[in-house]
Amino acid sequence: MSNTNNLLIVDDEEMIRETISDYMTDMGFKTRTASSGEEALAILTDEDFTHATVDMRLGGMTGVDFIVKAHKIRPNMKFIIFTGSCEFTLPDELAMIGVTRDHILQKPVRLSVIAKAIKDL
Amino acid sequence: MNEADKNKSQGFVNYGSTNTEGTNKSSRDDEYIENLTRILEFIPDPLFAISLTGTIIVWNKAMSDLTGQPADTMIGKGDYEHGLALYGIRRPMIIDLIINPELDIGLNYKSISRDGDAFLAEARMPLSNGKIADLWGKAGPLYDGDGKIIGAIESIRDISSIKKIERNLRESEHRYRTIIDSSPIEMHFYVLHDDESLIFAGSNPAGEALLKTSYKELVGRTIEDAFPALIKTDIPAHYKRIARDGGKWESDYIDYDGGAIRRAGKITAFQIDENMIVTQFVDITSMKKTEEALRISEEKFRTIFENMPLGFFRTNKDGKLLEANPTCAKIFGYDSVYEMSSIIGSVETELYVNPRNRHTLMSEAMKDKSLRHYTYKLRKKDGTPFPANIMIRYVGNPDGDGYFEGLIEDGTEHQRIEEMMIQSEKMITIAGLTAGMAHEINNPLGIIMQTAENAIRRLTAESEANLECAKQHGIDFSKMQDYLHERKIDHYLEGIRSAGLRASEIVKNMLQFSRRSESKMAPYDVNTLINNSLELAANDFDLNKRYDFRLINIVRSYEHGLRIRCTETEIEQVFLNIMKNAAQAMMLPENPTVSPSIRIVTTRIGNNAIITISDNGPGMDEKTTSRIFEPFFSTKDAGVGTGLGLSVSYFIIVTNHQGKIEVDSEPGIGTTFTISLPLLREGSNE
Repeated sequence: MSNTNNLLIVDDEEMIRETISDYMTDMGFKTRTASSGEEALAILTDEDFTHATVDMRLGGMTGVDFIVKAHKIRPNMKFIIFTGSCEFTLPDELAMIGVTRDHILQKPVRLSVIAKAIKDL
Repeated sequence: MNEADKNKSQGFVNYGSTNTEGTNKSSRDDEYIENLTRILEFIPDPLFAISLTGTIIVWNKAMSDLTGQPADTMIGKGDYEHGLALYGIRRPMIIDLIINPELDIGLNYKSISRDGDAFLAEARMPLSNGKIADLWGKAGPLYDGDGKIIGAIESIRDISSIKKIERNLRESEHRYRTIIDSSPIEMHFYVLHDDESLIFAGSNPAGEALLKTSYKELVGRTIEDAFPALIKTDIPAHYKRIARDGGKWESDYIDYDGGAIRRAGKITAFQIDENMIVTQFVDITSMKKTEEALRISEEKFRTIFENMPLGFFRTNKDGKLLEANPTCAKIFGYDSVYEMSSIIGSVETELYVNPRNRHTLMSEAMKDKSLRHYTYKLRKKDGTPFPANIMIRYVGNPDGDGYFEGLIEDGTEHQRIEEMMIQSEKMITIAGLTAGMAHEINNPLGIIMQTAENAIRRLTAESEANLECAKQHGIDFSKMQDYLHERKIDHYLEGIRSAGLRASEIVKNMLQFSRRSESKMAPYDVNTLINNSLELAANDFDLNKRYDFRLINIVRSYEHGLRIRCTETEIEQVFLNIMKNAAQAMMLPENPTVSPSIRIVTTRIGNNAIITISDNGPGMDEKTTSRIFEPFFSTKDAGVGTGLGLSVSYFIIVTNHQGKIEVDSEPGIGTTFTISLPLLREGSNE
């Protein structure tokens, strides 16, 4: 399938999921949302995505655990990471699958910034 | 005379001698004796004479005085009447030996000797008057004009007083000899010969012990020969000078053995006679050892006393400074204890900011002798007040003629550290609180910002989806926009968006409080960082019209080679914050500073780089200074400052870089920030 523009949004905050989804839809993305890592992994088994935005702090599994598992299912998927902590440093397991500092966004994030980051991936 | 003659003849008769010579002859003798008697009457020594038959024929005045027996009762008597008169016992005397050498009289005399045909004797015996006298007598034959022996004559001298002197002298000499012999003082005797050789002449027993041999073996030898150890000293020369010129010479000597005293002595030499000296040695080893121990102990305590970091003082009730150690003088800013005690008349009026404090302290201290602790404001030599910690006690009786003694320290540093600790604790609490809060605000803030962004976006005509949706609902898009604009909905949304943006900036800063040291730390040159910050500040004026950095005179005084390990951007941000604050303060429209300047000094103190940034702006009062590092504390108009710049700076320096940041400000003079950062250790490759 031509999956140039589809995005999975993983965030436990409903309004965040919604605003990002709406914005990215307007930007021409096809989006789906998940409120937890577990839910997102279930979606990933059936559906392929080019990108995912992942909040590090989630109920259930952590953002890092999710990315590691998601990468195994969809090795070509790219990740944008949201963190509320400015102390956050890139974990080795994420660096090993190609996540870089540029993929990490400090919350609160402007939607235009998210869009630009995805475009630059 | 008839009576005398009669007695005389009687005496002859009584003695039973055979004198059958003619009257002529006899009368010639009488005449001779009469003349002799007349002459002898004037001799001051007692004298008497007997005839060959033992009859007393002469008894002079001095003899009468000595015995109390006048001549007329004695003349003519025999049978040792003279012995009776003199000694109260009828016995022969040396005069009788002249007549009859066979007589045994020895027991009565201390000594008898012969001198030609004369006998000499000394006797100590009671006189007839009961007095014990020393008598000296000389008896010899009495010749007539023809040289014929007609009797014997004896002269007696009372030598009691001479004998007494002699006895005293002997006793005295004996006493002194005893003293010298039993004295523990070691004495040697020397005699100086004409050839300048000093000859050992003897010693007392104590002195002999010193020789380790009998003094007799050394007697007669030169001092150099007897005591070779003295050759290389100046002692023989001193002895010779004293022996020759008299006087006295004294010297102490100490014999060390590996730093400790082995033996110490005091030598005294003095002349006792021409060319003769006695030398005395007194062992003062124990005294010198005690002295040395005392000196070491005293020195030890004095060193402690003078170098202890606490000031020591002693004062009396009137406030006179009785004693102080150098630290005490230093605390008060005096060069020396001498200077301090000569300048200070009364500690109460000259050192106490409030002299009543000393009254309180004195009356409390005098209640008992316990040590009390006070903190009072005292004054330095130049008048600067400082908080002093005083530990004091009273020594003496309760009526107050004792003194006060105690320890003192400058409490400035204490107070500063205490304040810093309170400040730091306060900041840590605030930091934790703010960071936690910021974290929680993140999501709702994100929603506000992002929904506002979406809302704005979905009201624009640029989006096909927007136009499509409007069309579906039969809405004229441009009319809707006009409505939104007229009712300022777009403006409100923009307000939400920009306020959210501003809030998110604040949150980002707040989050820095909880940030720990990052991996981006690297070695940087302090001066380079400052120069970078200055450049940033100079370029900042375009964005912010509230000040123009280019109008400020920047004075730089750098020490080179100050390298620190830090996060470049953070430290630059700190410098920039301080410089911007200074610039803003100096360019307040209502009170612009004339010829504004910022002075930046870098230097090295110990293992720290010290950076001071001073302005000559309006300064701050104490209240503002004490709160300056608190988050959200700002004197700027709302919207101009977040009140976070300096609190972030504080955390960057203190928490992230283990440094120190302090502010010192005086209204009307200016403000100085002092930053201390640990220097890179020498040889570190980082």
